[in-house]
Amino acid sequence: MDTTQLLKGVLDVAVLAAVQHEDGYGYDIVRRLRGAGLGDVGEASVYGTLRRLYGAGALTSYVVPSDGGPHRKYYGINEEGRKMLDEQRVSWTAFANTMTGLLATGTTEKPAAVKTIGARA
Amino acid sequence: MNTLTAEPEAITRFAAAVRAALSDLSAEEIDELTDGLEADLIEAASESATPEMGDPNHYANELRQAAGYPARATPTRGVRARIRAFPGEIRAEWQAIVERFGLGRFVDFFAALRPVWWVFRGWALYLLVAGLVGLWNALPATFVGWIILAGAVVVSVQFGRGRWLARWMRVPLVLGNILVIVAAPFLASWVVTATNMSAARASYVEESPWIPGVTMNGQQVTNIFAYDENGALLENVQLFDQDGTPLDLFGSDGPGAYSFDNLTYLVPNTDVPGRAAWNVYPLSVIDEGDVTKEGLPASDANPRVPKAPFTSVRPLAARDAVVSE
Repeated sequence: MDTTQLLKGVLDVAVLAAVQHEDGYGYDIVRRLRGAGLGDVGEASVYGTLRRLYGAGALTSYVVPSDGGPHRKYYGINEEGRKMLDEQRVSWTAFANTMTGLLATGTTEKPAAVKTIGARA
Repeated sequence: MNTLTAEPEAITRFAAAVRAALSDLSAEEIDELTDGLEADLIEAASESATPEMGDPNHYANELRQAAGYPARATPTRGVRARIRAFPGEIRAEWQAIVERFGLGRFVDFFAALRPVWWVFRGWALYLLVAGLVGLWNALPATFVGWIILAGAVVVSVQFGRGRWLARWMRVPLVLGNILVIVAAPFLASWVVTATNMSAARASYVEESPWIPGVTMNGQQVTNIFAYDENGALLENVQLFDQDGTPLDLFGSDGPGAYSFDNLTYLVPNTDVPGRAAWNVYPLSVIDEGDVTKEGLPASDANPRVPKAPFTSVRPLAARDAVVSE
C-alpha cells in the first residue's frame, strides 16, 4: 500500500506528536518522524504542515540564527496544539482500532460488510 | 555536511526555484512557507545519501499543499491550462465590474449590437480573403467578390452564434478577433478615406456640373475686354479658338439673351452676317426689362457696351525699345 496516501491524513497529528516534548526546526522534525518509522514522509510536506499548524495557532515559532549559515526556524507546541493533539489521538485510536478490527475479520466477509454499509435497505 | 555546504549555490538556486514556483501566493505567504528553507535544505542535503534535491516545483507543490494553500492551477506544465482558464477569469472579473458599477443596461445594449460586430468581422474576413486574391476594394466590385463577402459574413455570424466552431478553432478565433479589433481603426479610416475620395469625385461631377463655354479657375467668364498695344479699350473684337471655332463664353450659340445674375443680360452681336455672334467682345448687355418671355432680346432693346473694368490699361513697352534692348 502507498503509505504516502495514508500519511496525508495523519501528518498533522504526527507532526504535533513529534514536537510535543521538544521544540524543533523543520528538518529536525523530519528526522524525528523518519526515526519513528515514517520513512516515506516528504520534507516539504512536513514543512508545509508545520506552517499550517503554526497558522492555525497550534504551534509557536521562533527564529534561531546560526553561525555562518542560514537561520533556522524552530517550532514548539502550545496549549492549542496540545488540545488538538489530544483530540486527534483519541480519534486516531478509535480509527486505528476500527481498521484493525476490520482487517482482522478476514478477507471473505469484507465485500459483504462494504455492501451492508452502502445498501439503503 | 561538508560536501554540500561547500555548494551553497545549488541550495540557493533550489530555494529560489521553490519561491518562484510559489509566486502566485502573496509575498507574505511565500515568506511564511519558505522561511528557514535554506537551513532545512542544507541539512537535508548533508544527510541524504543521494545529494540530489529533486524537482523544485514538485517540492513547492508539496509544501503548498501541506500548508493548506490551494494547488497552483498550473504546476509547471500549466501554460496551456492557464491560457484555458484565462477567458473564465476575465469573464469573472468582467462580471464583477459590471455588477459593482451597475453596468448591466449598457452591457445589454452592446450585447444587442453583437450581430453588427459579426457582420463587421465577416467584412474584415472578406478583406483578408479578397486581399489574398488581390481585390482591394472595401466592397466587392465583382460578382465573385460579393460571393466571398457573403460567405465571410455567414461564417462570421455562424461563429458568433457558436455554430460551426470546432474546439481547436477557439484560440485562432480569439486571436483573429483581437486582430480585427486592432485593425478596426485602420480599416475604418481607410474606408472613410476611400469613401470621401469617391464622394469628392462624385460631388465634383454632380454639384459643379460641367460648365459649357469658357471658365477661369472654375468660374464662368462672362465677358472679355480687350485692350490694344496702347492700352485703349477695343470694341467689336472677334475671337476664335485654335480650331477656328468662334470663342463663345457660354456655349449658348443662338439669338438668346444670357444672364448670369438675372439682372443684366448679355446679348450676341448682330452685325455678323448669318448668325448671332457670341464671339464679338465685349458682349453688349441689355436690361432685364428688355428681355422677352422667350428669353430673347426685345426688338426695341438697346444693347450697350457694359462698363469695362478699366477704361484703359498701361500701354505695352514700345516695340523698338524692346528690340534695341
